Amino acid sequence: MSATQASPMPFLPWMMTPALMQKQWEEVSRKLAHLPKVAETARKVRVGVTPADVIFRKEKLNLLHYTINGEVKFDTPLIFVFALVNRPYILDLKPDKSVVGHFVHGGFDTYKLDWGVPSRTDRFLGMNDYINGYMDEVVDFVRERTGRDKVSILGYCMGGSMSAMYTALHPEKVKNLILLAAPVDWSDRNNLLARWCDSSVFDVDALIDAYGNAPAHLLQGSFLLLRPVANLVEKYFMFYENMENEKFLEDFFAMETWLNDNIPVAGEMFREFVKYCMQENRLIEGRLRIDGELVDLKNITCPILNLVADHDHLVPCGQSLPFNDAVGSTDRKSINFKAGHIGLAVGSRAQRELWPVVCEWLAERSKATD
Amino acid sequence: MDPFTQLWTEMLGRMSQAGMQAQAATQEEMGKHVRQAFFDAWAKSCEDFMRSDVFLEGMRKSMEGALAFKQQMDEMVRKAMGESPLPSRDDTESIIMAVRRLEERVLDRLEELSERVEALEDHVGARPAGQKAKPRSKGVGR
Repeated sequence: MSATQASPMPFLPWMMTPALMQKQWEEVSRKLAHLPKVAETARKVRVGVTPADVIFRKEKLNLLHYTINGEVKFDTPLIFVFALVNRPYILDLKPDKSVVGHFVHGGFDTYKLDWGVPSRTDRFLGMNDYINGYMDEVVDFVRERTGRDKVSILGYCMGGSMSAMYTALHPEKVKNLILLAAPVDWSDRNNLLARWCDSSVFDVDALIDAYGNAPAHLLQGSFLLLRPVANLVEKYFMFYENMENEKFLEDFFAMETWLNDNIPVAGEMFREFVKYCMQENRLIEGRLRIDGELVDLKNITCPILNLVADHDHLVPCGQSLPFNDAVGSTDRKSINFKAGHIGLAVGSRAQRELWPVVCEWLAERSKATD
Repeated sequence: MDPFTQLWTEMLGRMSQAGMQAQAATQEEMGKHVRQAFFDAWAKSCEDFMRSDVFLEGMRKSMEGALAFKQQMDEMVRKAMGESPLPSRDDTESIIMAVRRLEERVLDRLEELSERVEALEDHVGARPAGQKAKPRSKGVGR
């Protein structure tokens, strides 16, 4: 029997037959011979692909403006707001996996807020600094630069929660709000991350008092441990099986670059977010105050698009969907997409089926340029 | 049965059950089915364990221990730095705090002054009706 043919079932299914052993040996040899190519692909990996210029800087923060190929079709600028726990280039990972690219090529004047990497001296920055300080300055800068009264905001994960808070505090500056896997309601404690963050288990004050900022290694370790078998075992089996597939390798290394590029979170911000939002659930209950001002989600009256992922292990749908009932908007919609937390942004199916729909939704609500 | 033994017992039970249920035409496919079933069972058991009180309590205690150790180390370094002529992290942080307090005071004072100027402008009619001063960004450090 040829070793390349499928091996029939032996008497015991797990029994090694000589043919199977030969086949596996050939496979291992072939893959070993392919290792230089794997190393070359890893070396060549590039992330953050859409051309952009930094047009505003404030301490560690950078605002990127994407260079548009062709004309701007819509007059409302769009700002991407990413979470503070990772780098924002996940939204522009590769040419065929770029959320930003959909909007740029769709004719939107697109900006992305890169929070930068906080140092020890940024440990005192809290919600007020990020939301009423940095975010507000960026929005004002874009409004002034474009001459428009309002901007559209797309917030991802924690960046979505922050965008919701910002819109509630400054509703006059936001025309459309898109939330992407953004948690707002932590009342359901069944999620594994919610259990770990419960005040009886996790003393966020002690952590921040000891470390200053929330350390990147702690965040990275916690995220990996949420799905240990998938993240630490299965992934590498899949890598081994697909290491001769060039496209797979490119995607794999791009994702790995992002997954391992963790950054710390400013201490006060992390403390306030974990304590007030994740542990005390103040946002959805209308008890959250920033700089003494109540964050009332009912103040949000602009069109809302809430994107949630069916298989999200970090932000389950139950943490995002209640947002639509809490706001004052009448134009509100949610899309429940079959993907995971990251797949919602970079998954091939999301690129094909979800993002064109989101672009269309935003186009309908953004005035066409004269 | 203690929770850890229970975890392993359940996991092995799930794995053997999953392996028995797998059906495939070829040995390679069978291997993949069994492997996936093994991973699924393993993942389920890990998740169950990580939700258990034993794990949560262990996590809490290990974090407490790690933080206490870090604080002890920091204290030692702080004392050593205090004896040396070099500026310490505490010195830097107290400067940052002083700058932030100063910034807050300056911004508050500016806000007061701008309100007074607005009131004066309204009083003398120097500002066209309906035109409001641009609200100041609350700014970083407030």
